[in-house]
Amino acid sequence: MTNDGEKMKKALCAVISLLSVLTILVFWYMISWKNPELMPTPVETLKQMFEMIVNPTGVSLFEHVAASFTRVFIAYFSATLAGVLIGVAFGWSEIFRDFVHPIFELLRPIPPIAWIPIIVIWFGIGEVSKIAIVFIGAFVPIVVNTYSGMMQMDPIYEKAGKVIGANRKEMLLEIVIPASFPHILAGMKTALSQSWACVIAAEMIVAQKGLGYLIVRSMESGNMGNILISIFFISGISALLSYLFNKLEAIICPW
Amino acid sequence: MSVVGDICVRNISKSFNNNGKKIEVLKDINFEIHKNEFLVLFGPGQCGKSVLMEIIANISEPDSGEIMCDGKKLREEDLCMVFQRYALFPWKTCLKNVEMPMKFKGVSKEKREEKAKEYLKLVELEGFENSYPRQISGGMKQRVAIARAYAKECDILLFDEPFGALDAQTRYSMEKELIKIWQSEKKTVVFITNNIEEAVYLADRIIILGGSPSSITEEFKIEIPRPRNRSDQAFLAIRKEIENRAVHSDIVSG
Repeated sequence: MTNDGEKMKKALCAVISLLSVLTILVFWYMISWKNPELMPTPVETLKQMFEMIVNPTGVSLFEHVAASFTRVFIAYFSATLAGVLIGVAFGWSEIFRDFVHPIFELLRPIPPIAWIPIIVIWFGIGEVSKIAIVFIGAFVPIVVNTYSGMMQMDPIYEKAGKVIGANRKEMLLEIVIPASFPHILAGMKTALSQSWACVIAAEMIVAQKGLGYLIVRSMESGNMGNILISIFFISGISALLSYLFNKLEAIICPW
Repeated sequence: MSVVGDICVRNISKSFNNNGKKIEVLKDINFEIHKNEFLVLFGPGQCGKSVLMEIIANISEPDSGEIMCDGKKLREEDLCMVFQRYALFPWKTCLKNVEMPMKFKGVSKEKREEKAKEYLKLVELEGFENSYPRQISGGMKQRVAIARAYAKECDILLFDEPFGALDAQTRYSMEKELIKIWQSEKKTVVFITNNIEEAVYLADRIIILGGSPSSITEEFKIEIPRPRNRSDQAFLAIRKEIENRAVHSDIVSG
């Protein structure tokens, strides 16, 4: 009985979710049908997307996606590596914290895109600049979360580590870092969506390829269909990344 | 096979700073812990028993005094401690938790896995090697913690109200098992509790802490043979006596 009831409830939830998507599509259709100058209809947009994939004029949609993705990939992983290292050093060494923390706190509130002018002047408009901007966006939340994870660790783990004989190095590697792991992952999750947002922003200003570039180009040429397609891809990829991240989290952090 | 002899707790005092106000918790505590005895430290909540135990375990520094053993400072590697909140590492399986002390000692992977399995068997947790702490009950967690403490293979074990968070039934079976384990592999045990029945059931000797700041107010030798029966005449008599004298010196309130 209860099992059947639960199944019913689940089915109902799925139907409601589907309805929500349908509602948006209906609204979209209504708006675009009455005001074709505002946006193309869903069907036209879909057609245009196929055109861009199968028969592109110039750079194909996938090349744009790949360009954005590669930048995020490189910047995110190097930011994770550097961020965890710096965060751990903050949490572990008082001298390092006292020295670097004021600098970090001073620079931290600067939005990553505000760095664009400086970075472009220093590094030009090549790949390095875009990667550097994404790096800044991803680096900060990882450092902050890693550090706060270490600070918020239940002191009983440290006591337990001490009585079972951990030396300082073992305490860090076997106890403090694993105990901070959920916080580190939370930082990495924030950093992932942050990187994706930053890459789009950076490409809107300095790029010849990428989804951010595509949006700006389409705006300049008044191509609403391309703008919509870019936006769908940006949100779709972002959702996909965070879905994959959650799956990965369940695997590497099973407790 | 113990190599460590009697332990001497000498002139231990400790105070804390609370908003600029100095609060004395322990004052001039002196007692001995005999080799292989089961010593219970009994006292009301907040009397500083745990602070005293952390000082013995060298997790906390006393303001004055020292913990001596065979004429030298007591060494950390000779003792291990079990906490009320279990303090298992949630990111490790039960087996890996038990392996930790041996890992820190440099025991090889195969050897420590084999030994850890033995210790889990000792606390009757065969089959839970690969469970994570969150998947098992409070009583089982504490068994894993006891196995982990035994896995350090040291001579002195400190227990800080280990069964305080367990329900009465689980507590009884844990007490029984702890005595069984202790009898099969003798160690010097210091055990904190605020439960008189538990104290009388477990102890060779009970030291009562009380007052503010805390000091040792009473000491009882419990000579009832084991296994003890909680409704036995002798058991109830001693329990009553402790209760009376403790109440008399304002140890037990309410």
